[in-house]
Amino acid sequence: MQAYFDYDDAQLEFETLVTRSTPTAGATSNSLKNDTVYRRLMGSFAVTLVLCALAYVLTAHLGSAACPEVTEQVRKPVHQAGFVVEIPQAIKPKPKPKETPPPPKIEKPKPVERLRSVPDRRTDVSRQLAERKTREVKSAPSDRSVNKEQLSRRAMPAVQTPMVDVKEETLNREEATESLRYAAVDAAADTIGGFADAVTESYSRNLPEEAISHIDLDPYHYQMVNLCLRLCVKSMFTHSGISQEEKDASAGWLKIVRGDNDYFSIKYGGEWMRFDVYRNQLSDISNLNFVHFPGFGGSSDAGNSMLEEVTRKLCSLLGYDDCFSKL
Amino acid sequence: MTTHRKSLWAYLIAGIICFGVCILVNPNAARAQEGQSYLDYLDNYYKTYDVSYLMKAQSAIKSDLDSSAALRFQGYYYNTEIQYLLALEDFKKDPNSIEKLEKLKGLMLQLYSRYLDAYYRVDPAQIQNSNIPGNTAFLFKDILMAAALMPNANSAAPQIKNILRRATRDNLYNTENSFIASVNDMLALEYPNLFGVANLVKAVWLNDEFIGAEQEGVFKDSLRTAVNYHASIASDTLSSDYGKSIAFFLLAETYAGDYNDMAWDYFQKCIDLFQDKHIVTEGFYAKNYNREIYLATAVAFFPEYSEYLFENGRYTEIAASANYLIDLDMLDRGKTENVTKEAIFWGEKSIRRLQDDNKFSKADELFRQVQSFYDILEPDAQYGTRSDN
Repeated sequence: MQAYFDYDDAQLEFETLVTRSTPTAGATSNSLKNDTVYRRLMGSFAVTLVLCALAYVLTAHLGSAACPEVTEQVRKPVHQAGFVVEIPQAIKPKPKPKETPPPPKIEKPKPVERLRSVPDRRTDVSRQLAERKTREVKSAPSDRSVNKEQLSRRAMPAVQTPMVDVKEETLNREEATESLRYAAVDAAADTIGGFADAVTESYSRNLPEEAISHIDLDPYHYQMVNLCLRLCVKSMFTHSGISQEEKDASAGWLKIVRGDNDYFSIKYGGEWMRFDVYRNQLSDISNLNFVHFPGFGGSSDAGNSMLEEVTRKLCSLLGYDDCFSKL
Repeated sequence: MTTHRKSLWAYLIAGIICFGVCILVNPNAARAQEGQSYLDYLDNYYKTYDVSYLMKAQSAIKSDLDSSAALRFQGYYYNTEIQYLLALEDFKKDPNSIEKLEKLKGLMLQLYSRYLDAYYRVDPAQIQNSNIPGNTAFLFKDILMAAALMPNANSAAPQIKNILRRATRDNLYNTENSFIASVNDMLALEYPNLFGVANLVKAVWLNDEFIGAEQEGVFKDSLRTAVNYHASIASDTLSSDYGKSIAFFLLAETYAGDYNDMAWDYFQKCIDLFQDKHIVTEGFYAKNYNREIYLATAVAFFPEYSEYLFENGRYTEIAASANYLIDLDMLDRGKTENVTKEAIFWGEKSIRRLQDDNKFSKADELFRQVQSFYDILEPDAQYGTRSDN
């Protein structure tokens, strides 16, 4: 605090320190109620509010922002002693920065060792994802056990060379050499304690072959039923059809209708099953659509069984003995 | 611009800012969307052979494994597999490049080493419940995909042999009906001809899709061409009779309808391998590729071939083809009757055509050929003497 002994200096000091508030000119309460201006002001207020909120959020996100100090300009009293005594500014205590909550930890889902499941025509990727989630829940406790293991074994040497069990029944030199070599790899790759028990592996195998090889798991049906049933249908619907003896033998379980719509019906499981025949597809050995059974509402396995049974009966009737013995 | 519009703009801008802030502040938005893992991308690649899935797997594997040291070791194998598949896709674009071939071979060896690393770290008692069976099957597929294209694929035969040895010892695959069984059964006959085996196995894979394709069209034609391509290579390079019979059969099946003469020729080659010779048909291929299947398919194709011969005026070849099948002495009663009826039907049509063309001597000669077929059938089954159903 400085004492001014010179009156002019003190006056100058006084004038510079005192802030004069200028009254708004021409402002009347009535004009504020004007619609256009009112709306403008409200809009501006809203925008300002939003920007303040934005600023608050940003600053809260980045860190606490210190509230600016508010300095009060106080009029200096003029003492009769001739010098101005500055009243010390009231030092307001800095507000404690608000404790911002720590940013939420983004925890990536811990990948779980997943079995190599092969997608087939019946398994889609979403099902595998669901299976993976199930396995993640199962393996969660094991992950915690890994951490415990690591904490407890910190004092141990970093690398331990595991013993290699040499089987006594048959010692294959190549395998023994490989085992030793990969034991070193095993030791080098482990950190502490190993990962043998890191994840519990009690998953069910899922390896549908057709996704790897695109060969149906049961090709027997498609080849034999396709070829043998095709031969039977050819016998029934081309040229002269079946003989009288064959007609007599099949009375009661087989009906053949030739005309604009070729079809045959076979009694299966006590019911008559209709099979539509497309004669123009019979000669194309790579086309399986020569016969269609629209009335069947069962599963594909049940459909395959039914086709096989029908084909066996027809092969037996029409003398396709090789087909019959294979089916 | 009126004041009202200005206010609206102000509100709109404020709203957009709020929205953006909400997005930024929302902790849920900061978390990466839970998507597919690298194994899902790999599975999708094997379904579609779309290289973009390999790229996604490559980037996913880096982030997925960073957080867990326990899975990092397993990740070594998958990462190598992804690099290997990328190199394979690269090689397919330029199969004459020595540099790309060497890179592919190097990665194949690396993949094999990684596989063994993972194999030996698993407790033998737990191997059935681990990733080893799945990785074994995919490793086979990976190597064979390359072997079907590489000119010196046979150099990889010892690797396959070693993998097979372990897989068989540890029961890692279904010995009767699995992809590994399909490779094992053929490689046992053809070792070390991995190139021929790879092409045959690929032809068999594709043939299943070809037969199963529902509609005729561009897709089915492309499958037909692919089966034909790989079966041709297999037929030229395989040494075993059984392997060659499968290749010939696939060629006959794919040529049927478009190139009937070639189809019939391959049917004959396929069936001739079984004449006076016993070919052991066991294992994976036995159910779909055996003498009975070949004969049944040839008999099923015979009517189409007879019609083709008739339309091209090759009348005498109809009877000759029928006699070929019957003289094999391998057909059962039903197939014999089927072939005989077809021969009679088309033979008589041919006779009428020749008579209409006033070629009576040829018609007489053909009639004598057709007469022999009447003797095979029972008397009341002769064409024209029996009422239709």
